[in-house]
This record gives sequence, structure tokens and C-alpha cells, in this order.
Amino acid sequence: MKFWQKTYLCVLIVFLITFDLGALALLKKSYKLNEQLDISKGMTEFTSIEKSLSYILRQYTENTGNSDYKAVLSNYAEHYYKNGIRLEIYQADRLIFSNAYQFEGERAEKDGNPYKTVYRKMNDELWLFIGGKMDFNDLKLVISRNSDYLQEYYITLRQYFIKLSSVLSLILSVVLIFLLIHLTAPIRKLNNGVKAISAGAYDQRVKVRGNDEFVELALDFNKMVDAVSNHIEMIKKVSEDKEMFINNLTHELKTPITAIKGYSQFLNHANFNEEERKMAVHYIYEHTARLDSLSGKMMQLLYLKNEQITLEPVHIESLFLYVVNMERHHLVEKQLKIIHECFAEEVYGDQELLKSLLINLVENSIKASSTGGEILLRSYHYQEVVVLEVLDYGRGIPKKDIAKITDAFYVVDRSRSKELGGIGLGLSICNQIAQLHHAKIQIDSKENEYTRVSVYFTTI
Amino acid sequence: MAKILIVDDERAINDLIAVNLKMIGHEYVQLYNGDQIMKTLNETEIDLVILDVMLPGRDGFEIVQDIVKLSVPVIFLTAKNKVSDKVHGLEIGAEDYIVKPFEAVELIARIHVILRRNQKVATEFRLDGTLVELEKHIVTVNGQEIEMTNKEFQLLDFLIQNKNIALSREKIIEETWGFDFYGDTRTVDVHIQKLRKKLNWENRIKTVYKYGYRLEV
Repeated sequence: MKFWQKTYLCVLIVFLITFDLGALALLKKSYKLNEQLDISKGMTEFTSIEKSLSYILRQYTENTGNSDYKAVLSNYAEHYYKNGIRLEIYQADRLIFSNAYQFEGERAEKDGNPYKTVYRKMNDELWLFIGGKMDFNDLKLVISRNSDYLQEYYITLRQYFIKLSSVLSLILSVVLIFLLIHLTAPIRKLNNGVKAISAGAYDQRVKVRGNDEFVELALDFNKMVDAVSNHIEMIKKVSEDKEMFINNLTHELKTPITAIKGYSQFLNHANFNEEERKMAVHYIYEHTARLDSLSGKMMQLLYLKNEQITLEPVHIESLFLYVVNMERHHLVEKQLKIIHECFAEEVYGDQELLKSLLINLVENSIKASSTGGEILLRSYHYQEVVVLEVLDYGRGIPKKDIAKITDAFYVVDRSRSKELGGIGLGLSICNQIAQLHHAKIQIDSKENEYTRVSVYFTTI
Repeated sequence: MAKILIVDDERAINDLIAVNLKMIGHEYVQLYNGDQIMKTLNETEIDLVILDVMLPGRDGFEIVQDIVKLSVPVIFLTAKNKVSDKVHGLEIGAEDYIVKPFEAVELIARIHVILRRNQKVATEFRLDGTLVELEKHIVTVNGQEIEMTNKEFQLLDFLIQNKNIALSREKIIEETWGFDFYGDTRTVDVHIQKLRKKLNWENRIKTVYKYGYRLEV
């Protein structure tokens, strides 16, 4: 059963019970009051009848000396009978006159002193009996009168209440259903939203207006969905990245394996000449070297992913000198000039990792530069932050590739990069090292003009 | 012999295919990116294209649709080994799909199948005084027809297809007798002996020590 249906039924039942109980009490009270009114009217009648009858009988016996006053009684009774009042006269306990219904049973009212009233049902009609002593010869008078109007009144009123209760229930139902449907609308909205979202529509949100508890709930629910969908997005991204990484790695592995396998088979089985033998051996050697470099870089990358480093002050100038010294052969080969400027003297980090970071960046610059070019190594302060920067005036990076350049295995120009011995892991390693130092790498480049890689060490 | 266009940006792989094709006597043209393919196809008569999927510039899946329009058969050569990639490659018009790392013998066999399907394979083979008419299953030595069993002819066909390449006994059995052959590898030796004798090819069919045989041309 729905919430609004439950509420509707409960309210209706409570209303009916209270209304009917109230109506019943009112009915009873009203009946009681009417009965009292009826009795007091009866009393007046009784008193007047008793007085006049006692008077007449006394006069009669005094004037005539006749003690047989039955005729007088019947005459008198006749007069009241027309007004619907019946009389019974008892002497002691003996009935001496009656024009009322005769019935068996206790007649408590006749012993009333000064009087007593009893209601009785006679043939389904309500009768009021009033009895008491007369002021004459120890006679007792009982008058009885039809009071059925009390019952009829009661029944009419009860029917009226029943009708009223049905009409009110109907009105209440209509109003209540309208109100409940209106008030529970946010629940249904919330419910629909929850259903849609749990079915997988994580981009949907529940829309509820107002400022009641439902809206609060909806807002909290939306917050929860945000958190959940963010997590899902993150997990998706991670798994996509992982798949991409594995795909790229597979591709990177398959080419040298194909070459090595193919050429060794060729050497083993084919009928080759000296030139072909040299070529095959050269390719086997070259691709073994490629696998070697790949495995080295992979190891470094995996190692970096799990590493915790301790940050120590590193002297930047000696770092630069080390890097320049390491790369001097490559620099001489391409007749490149390297300039280093140290405006910041120290940076906090792991010396070996920082060397590796700079070597990777400088090697990239060497590869990008054309013969006779210039490479600039700089360190400076930028808003309390130490920046290490490598700048070259080489090929540059196309705008669309800058965002992806730090992804593992991403290379801008595959065939050129292969010639230069790159596999697209260098910047990925740099990025990893930067992350360990809580540093940020920013790449700024214009194609065929320059490339500037700046590492911001935010912790210092 | 057929003229084959090799497109692969990896020089090592490109040269590997080239030397293997040279072994069995095919001509070839080498390209290292996708840009020159259509120009080459228009200028030179090419019988088959071996195409790498991941090429700098336009990738193989894009280019293949243009090549197929010229009704030149294409074999994809790629490191992508997902079934969905294979299906996609074949659906857009490639004749075959070879995943790296591949075996030279396999590549040659597939090339041969496609050339034969497209009727671009030679119908006869001449060596010394021997003439093999591949379609007619007729072999003549110095003008005299030689009788051969069906198996002997299949073996000869396989050797000619893979001339200059060493074939292992297992590979020969697989190709000539089928996978369900339970005989000895010595069956191969017996048949090779017979071929050598019948065709006077004692010096042409070389034994590769502990491996198999090679038809040297």
C-alpha cells in the first residue's frame, strides 16, 4: 500500500471514529434533555390532575355523602383520555379504576411519594408513567402518556448524523486525497529519480522544489549521486588508462619481438647473402636494444609508482652541472650550446630522481633541437615557489598534443620518434617524479619555435 | 611473379617482409607512411598491398577503403589482436589479417592464397630442365613428362611457393598431408628423395640439418 493511501485510510478512520463518538454522545445528551423536559411536563400534568381530582372527589363525597365515586372518576378520566392521558386509581394496592393498558409486572411508580416516573415500552411505543399519592382517602394515582415522540426524535437525529457523517467523509476523502497526492509528489519524484539513477543514468539528478524535508533528502541524495558518479568516472578513467597503457605496451613489445623473431628465423632458414645477413643482425641488435631500453624505463616507472621519497635540500647548480656533464656527448654530436642560470639555489627533493627528471627533459630538448641550437636550463623563484625550467628552440609540440604528451607511450610523431630512439615514456617518468615531489609540470610550446617545460615545486 | 606493396612505418618490419618476399622471387615496393600509397598504386601495377594498421598520418583502416576501390587485394599487418579489430578489418575490405608477431612462412602462405584467388600467381615454374605447370599438374624434365602422385605434386607445389625458405618437416606434413596425419616425419624424407630423383634436383632441394628442406633457386 502506498504512503498516501495509508495516510488517507488512517485519517479517515480516525475522523469517523471521533465524529461518530461525538455524535453518539450528543445524541445521548440530547435524548436525556428531552426526556427531562418530557418528565417535567408530565409532572405538571400529574400535579394538576392529582390536585383537581382530589378536590373533585372530596367535594363529591362531602356534598353527596356517597362514597361510590367511580362514575365521577370515569367521567373525569374521559376528559383526560381525549388529551391522551390515561388514568389508573389504586386504593392501597387494589386497582379501583383504569382506562390504561393493563399489563403484568412490577408497578414501582404507584408507590411514588410524592411521585415517581417510569418509561415503558408498550407495543413498541414509549409511554411515560407517573405515579404518586393523592390527597384523598389514601388513593394512589398513576397517569400514563404516550412519549413516543422522544424515540422518533432520537431516530431522526441519528439518521441525520449518519447522513452527515457520510457526506463529511466524502468531502474529507476528496480534500484529503487531493492534499496527499499533492504533498507526496516530491516522494514520487524522488522515487523516479532514484529508479532512473539506480538503473545507470548517473548523469541524472532529482529535481524537487521547496524547502521541506523531501527537498533536503533530494539534495542529499543528489550529493550522494555526485559522489558515486565521480567515483565511477574515476574508476572508469583509471581502467581506461590502464587498458590504454597495456595496449600501448603490447604494441611497443610486439614490434621488436616481430623483428627479432623474424630476422633470426630468416638467418636460420633462408638462403641469404652477406648484405642481408648484416641487415638482419643490425635489426636484431637494434630491437634488442629497444626492448632493453623499454624494460629499463618500465622498471623505472613501476618503481616510481611505489616509491616514497624523503625530501632533502638539493643544490641546483651542481644538479645542472651533473646533467650537462652526462649529456655532453649528445650535445657535442649535435653542436648544441647549453646555458644554465641559477636564480634559485636550492630545491627540496630527491637528488637522484631530480637528476633523472632533468636528464629526461634535456634529452627531449636535444632530440627536438636542430644542429647548432641552444638549450637553456634555469632555476628561479616564482611566488615563493622554486621553478626548474628547460627551454629549447626546436621543433615544438603541436597544440593538440600538449595535453596528452605526459601519457605513457604518447609520441607526437611516431616514425620520427622511433628514429630518435624514443618510446614515449620519458615525460611519463618526469610526471611521475614530479608527482612524488608534489611538483607540477607545465609545458608551453609553439610548433617549430620553442618548447618550455617548467617544473613548479609547490612544497618549498 | 607478383609485385607487392609493403606499407609499414617500422623499417625493420618493412625490410623483414621485403627480404622474405625477395626469397620467393616476388618484386616489392616499400613505403613507410600512408601518404604515397595512392600515388604508387596509380603509377605502378601492384598485385597486393601489405598494410600496417597503425601508420603515421592516415591509418590503415582509412586507406584500405581507397585501395579496395582499385580492386587491389590488401592484407592487414598489425599488433592489434582483438577479434573486433580483425572483424572490422575484414569487413571494410581487407582480404586477410595477420597479427604481429608473425611467421614468415605463414605470411607467404597467405600471400600465395590471395594471389591465387586473384589469379595473379604464376602458372608455371622453370628450374634447370624442369618445367612445372602448376594449374595442369604436369611436370616435364627436359621435355619428357614425369609421372607423379598427388602427394608428391602437393609437396612440390609447397616447395615452389616457399622457394629459398627452409621448411620444417612438421610444416611440410601440416601443409601437404594435413593436421590429422599420424605418420612418421620420415614420410617426408621418402617423398623428398623421390622428388629429387624424378626431377634431377639433388642439388636444388637442400637438407637443412635437423630441421627440414629448402628449395634453392
